[in-house]
Amino acid sequence: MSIIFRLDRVMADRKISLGELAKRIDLTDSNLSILKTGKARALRVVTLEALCRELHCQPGDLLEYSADEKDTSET
Amino acid sequence: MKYFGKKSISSVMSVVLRVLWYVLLIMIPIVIIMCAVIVFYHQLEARFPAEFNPNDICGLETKDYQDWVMFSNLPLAVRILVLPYFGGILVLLILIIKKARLLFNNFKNDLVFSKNNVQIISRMSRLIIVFSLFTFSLSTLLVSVVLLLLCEIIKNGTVLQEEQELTI
Repeated sequence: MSIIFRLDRVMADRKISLGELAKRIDLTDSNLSILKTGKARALRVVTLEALCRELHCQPGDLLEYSADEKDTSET
Repeated sequence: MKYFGKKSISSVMSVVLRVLWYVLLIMIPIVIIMCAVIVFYHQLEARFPAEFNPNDICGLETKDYQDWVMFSNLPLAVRILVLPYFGGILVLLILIIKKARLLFNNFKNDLVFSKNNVQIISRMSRLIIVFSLFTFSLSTLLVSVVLLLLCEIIKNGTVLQEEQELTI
């Protein structure tokens, strides 16, 4: 997928554990782990809002777009 | 009324199919012996003349008796050809029941939209198509078509469920 989740980097910067963040944004550990590892297919706006609120960051800090080979060849 | 999970229609069906499965397993040797008796009727009759009069043993009706006489007068090679036909039907029935058991077990365990179920239903519908061709049954063929449609529905449902599960 060309959208990369930078959640692990932001979490490391804020020195917050997965369990603690999951508790704060009312999400299960497994769901947050899916998000952290980049396996998620979609992200709800409310989840993104909660993440930004708790991590004191912008959505752009959490998400990054990287054009993969397929996209590059098309353009 | 619950359709999936514990104490539901699926769990009842699962038990029924399990019982049917064991009944079939018990019936197989009996059917094999009966087929052998039917095919080798003349040879056995020569050895035990008193025991193999269908009119006395089974109390067959006139039409059935006429069919029986016609069948028993056929050459042995032709009668042997009937065995693979009935054997095939029996094997198909066993396979269909096995697949149905697996499917209802999954339903009992609340696994409805899964790739495994798609595979089971798809194979089951193919088996039922063959079964309907064997038995010349149009209604069974219709059931298999409905099962194929159900298979597609579950396949789409599986994709939607996966999407839903991976939406955080």
